[in-house]
Amino acid sequence: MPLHMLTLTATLLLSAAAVPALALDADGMKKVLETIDERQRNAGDHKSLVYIQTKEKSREDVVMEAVVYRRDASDQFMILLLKPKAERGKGYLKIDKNFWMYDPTVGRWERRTERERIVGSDSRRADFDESRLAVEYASEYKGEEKLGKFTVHHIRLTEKPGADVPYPVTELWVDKETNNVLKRQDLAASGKLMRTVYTPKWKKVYSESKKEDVWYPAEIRIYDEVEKDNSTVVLIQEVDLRPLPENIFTKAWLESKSR
Amino acid sequence: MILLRIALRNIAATKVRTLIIGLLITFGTMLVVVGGSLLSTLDRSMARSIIGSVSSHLQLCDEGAKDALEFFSPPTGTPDLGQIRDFPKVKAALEALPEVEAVVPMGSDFAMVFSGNVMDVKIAELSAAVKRGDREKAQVLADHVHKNVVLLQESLRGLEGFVNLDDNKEERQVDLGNLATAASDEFWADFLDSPEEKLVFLENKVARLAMDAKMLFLRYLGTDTEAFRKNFDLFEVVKGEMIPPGRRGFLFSEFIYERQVKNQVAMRLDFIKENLEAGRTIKDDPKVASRVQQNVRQYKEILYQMDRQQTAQLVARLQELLEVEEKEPEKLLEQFLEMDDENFAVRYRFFYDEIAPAIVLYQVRIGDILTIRSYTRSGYATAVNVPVYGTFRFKGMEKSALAGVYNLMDLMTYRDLYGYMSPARKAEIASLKAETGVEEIDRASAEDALFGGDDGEAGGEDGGTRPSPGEGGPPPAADASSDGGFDEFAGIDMEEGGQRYGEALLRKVYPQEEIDTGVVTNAAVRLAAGVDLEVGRAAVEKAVREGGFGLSVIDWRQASGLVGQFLGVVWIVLFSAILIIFLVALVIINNSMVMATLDRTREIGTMRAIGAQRSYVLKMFLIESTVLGVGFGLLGTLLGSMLIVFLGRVGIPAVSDELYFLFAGSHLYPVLLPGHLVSAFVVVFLVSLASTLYPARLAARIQPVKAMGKED
Amino acid sequence: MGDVVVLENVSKEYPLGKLVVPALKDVSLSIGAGEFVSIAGPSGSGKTTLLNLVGCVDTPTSGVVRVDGLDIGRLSERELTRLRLEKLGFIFQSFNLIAVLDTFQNVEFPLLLQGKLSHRERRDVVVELLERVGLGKHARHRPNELSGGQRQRVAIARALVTRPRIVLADEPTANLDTGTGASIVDLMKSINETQGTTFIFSTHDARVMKHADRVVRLEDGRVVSNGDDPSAHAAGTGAELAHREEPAPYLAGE
Repeated sequence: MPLHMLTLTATLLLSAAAVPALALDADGMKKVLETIDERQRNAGDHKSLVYIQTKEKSREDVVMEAVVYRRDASDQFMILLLKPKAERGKGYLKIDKNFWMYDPTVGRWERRTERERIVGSDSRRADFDESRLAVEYASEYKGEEKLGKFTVHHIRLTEKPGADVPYPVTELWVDKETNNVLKRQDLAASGKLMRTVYTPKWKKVYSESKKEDVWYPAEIRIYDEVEKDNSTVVLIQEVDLRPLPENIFTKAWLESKSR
Repeated sequence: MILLRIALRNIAATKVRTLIIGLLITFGTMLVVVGGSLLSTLDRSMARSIIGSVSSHLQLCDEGAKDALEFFSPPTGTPDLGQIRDFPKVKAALEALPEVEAVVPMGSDFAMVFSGNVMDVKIAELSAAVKRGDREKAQVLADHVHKNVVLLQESLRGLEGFVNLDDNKEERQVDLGNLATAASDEFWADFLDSPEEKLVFLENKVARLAMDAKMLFLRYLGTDTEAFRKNFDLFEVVKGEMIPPGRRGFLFSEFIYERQVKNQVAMRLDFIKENLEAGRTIKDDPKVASRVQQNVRQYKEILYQMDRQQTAQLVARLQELLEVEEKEPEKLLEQFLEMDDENFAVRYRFFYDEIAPAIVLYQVRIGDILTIRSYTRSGYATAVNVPVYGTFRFKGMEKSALAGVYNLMDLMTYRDLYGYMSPARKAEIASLKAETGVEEIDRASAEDALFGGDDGEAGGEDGGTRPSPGEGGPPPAADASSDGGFDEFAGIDMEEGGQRYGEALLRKVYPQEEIDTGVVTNAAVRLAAGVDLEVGRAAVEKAVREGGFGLSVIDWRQASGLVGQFLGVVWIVLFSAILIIFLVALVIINNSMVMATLDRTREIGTMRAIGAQRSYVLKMFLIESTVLGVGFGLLGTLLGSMLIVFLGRVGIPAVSDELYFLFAGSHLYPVLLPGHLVSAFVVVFLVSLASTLYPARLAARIQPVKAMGKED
Repeated sequence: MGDVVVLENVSKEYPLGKLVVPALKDVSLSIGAGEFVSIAGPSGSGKTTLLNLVGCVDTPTSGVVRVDGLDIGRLSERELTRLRLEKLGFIFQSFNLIAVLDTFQNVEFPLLLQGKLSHRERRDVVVELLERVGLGKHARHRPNELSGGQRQRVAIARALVTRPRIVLADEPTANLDTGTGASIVDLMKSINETQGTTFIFSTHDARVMKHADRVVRLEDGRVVSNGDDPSAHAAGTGAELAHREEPAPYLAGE
């Protein structure tokens, strides 16, 4: 065996010894993240029917139903609110770095940011978007842990320069067996914990364009860690992977929906 | 009255002492009369300001409120006032009292109003014109946008040097490239032939580079607008019209509208004009001069808003006015805005005649629909649309920033911003929730509930953490719908919501019952005419107690916050000054009387020997000091009264915004109150009596033997 | 006529630091109504103490002092004051006029304290009295505008205005020149004779003593001659006493 191979083996053994649980090396970790991304990716368009319910202290629940339209290949994204009536026709449209919000009651478009709480809920735009963990974050393995009855990988993700993500640091707990993300915690740059997100239910649907299953979290539970009384539940009720009309990701289309 | 005669003679005999005591007493009484009258008048004018504007006589709020209701304290966030639980009941109970004229529901908060940057606004206008097919207007707007893009490119050119240092160097390069494209003549040459793509390009690649979006920070008072109008007698609409009864609507405070909503250049010109009228000059007053300089630097505020034609016109008119050949509109505007005391009047008129019609003079125009964003305490933004009906002010307090701090809106809009939902909306949400049936899981037990048990969670029929292999997978051939397809618009009438829903809200006339029902954080109680504040308060408190409403009742002074406390502080200062002066007077009078007692031992002994009782000697001294006190007290009262009468005639000018508010107008006209004359008198009388007690007792103890023997 | 003043075994001691200085030692004396009595004796012999006791401005350490039949040791402060106002008149060595009042007001003063007479009655009484003491034209003068003699006449008028039973005068001529002093004593004597007012005055002036009906001599707090004794009376007029009383007190002022 050549000397350098020996050194590598020794290093691997040593680093494995340093972490008590069975560690993932950088490659293994990348693979996990890529698997997560890849499984949720669809080659074509992506349409989902979501239900959002936000609880806040001393206030009525914010409840709504919306459709999320995605064309990941060209990085296009849109949300259209369906229920309740007061919000119906409102929408968000992402074009390049612009995140527009449309309010049909005034017929006005406004620029918003990635930190926008989608219609006042605890969810962010990114929660509905394509998973790009491997691209947007640098990762660090924290160890193998138990989450309930599941054995999970604990991975710390740090925002890569230039990435447009809502939180600079995110910690992931990934089911060792299925590679499904079960829990994530989003942190501010200061290290302050901002929110905890659980995705306990994963579903898959067959995609004609991908010729493979596309996975999605059917239930997303978000707990606000700053305002401890606030929490949001997002249900992805339906997913439709058939191609969307070509010109749908435009202001005109969104405007036409409430006229 | 021999004693009086003796007293007068003694007073006349000791001139220096009399002078010192006299000065002290005169000054002290003057202070009581002048200070008292001033403060009482101030109290009245403040009462007028505060009662007549937002507070009324009494305010009700939740007994258990975490924060105090303070209308005129500097904003430190949204105070937690709790809620009045059953406002209609409270209103009915209190309005039944003979002491109460009306109860007006209220709620106040802060909000932000954004206006997109000029580029966004102009592109939106262009887009609208294109959609309408109005080519003529579209051409004008296209030229305008083109001009603005060129201006933006120029202003960013100065920053090019920094591009290399930028982290996102490549991105910046792309941005500048896009800007160059949009600034080029080719881009615009055939713009109207295929405008859609270019509009998207402009909206998304170019406009966001112009980072001059404006934000208005507004304090608002949500109320039953009709009841407010009727019960706050200083309230008057200035521009536009009153919100129609029962409608949603917003009235800007005239002060805010003129100072913050107005185009900044115009606003500064107004400021300069006001100051020049007050006798200040651009030359000598740095505050005024700095406004001129700010205007010179911000010529773009004007230029960005003008299209090519308007710009060309402006150039011609400016050349004429300034008598120069200069052709660059930037240079011309800079020259124009560089105003001095001599040319200001002419240029001010020029601005309003020639420039103002071509620009957006107010960010929000009357008749516009205003989108108000309010942040709840949890940081969640709500947005509500409300039509702007006009502006209002409180009579006589046009110039007061404090009086102008609140904008007015209807209670419905307020409740939307507060997060309150009408029963109809609640029902809709409830059915939506029931339909979905989300299981609520507590934060603490979330992990156990979600990942713990061996129950059906994993792999159940509604999907689990580990979906079973059979669930997805390739569908049987030719079954297209097995892609999980769904029609999001099935069973949903898009026309029913959105725009129409919002429009319906704005058209709706709310019945009184609906206005009264819902969130009310506090309420103003206006007492019937002639009812004393304390009497009214007692009556209201009793009714609140008996009704078990759980409300605290505070008067306008408390409710006003810092402003009301300010007067309290002034009272304390005045009281202290008066106290100190009279303490000094007391000590001095006491000392000099003791000296006089020693000086007059023989005389007093003689009187005692001749047959004067002790009480007689006592009386003699008391009369002497009383004569001193009353005499100089009268003098002080007279001088003080004259001063007040004089001030009452000419008025004390309000030299600052705060005073303007406190004075409830431009001047304070102090009024002489008999109460202060009486109290001045009582105080002086008591002080002179107190200061003589000890020396008088000393004198009364002088033995008649002292009269005997030789003189010292 | 009974005795208006009776002293029975009267002693008076003054505390002086830790010492007790006896001023009068076991003095017994009675003075009848209408008498014109001089108290004589060297300085420190107890003349002033005796006058103070009789004038009710002081009380005895032991013994009984009766003024107009009243035991002054049994009277309260208020009652003593009342007694002085109603029954006694005072003429002081230094005149003791109230500086801020004019002649008329000074004389009127005791009447005001009594409060018995009306304004008109007071005026009549005061005017008549001022005429009597020869100051009719000086009614509106202030004390500092008057000479020593005039001031003492004002004082006499003041002492007499309430028609007292007894007038006490402590060295009434000590601050006056000889002539003036004599005229003051003449005035007192004539009032004594016309109105029957009892006069008790102290003096060291032999010429003044000559006018007295009776001279009581004190030495070291004891009565050495009662004056009832004709020999003592005779001796009182002797030059020997005058000799001992040098320097002559006929000096104006002071």
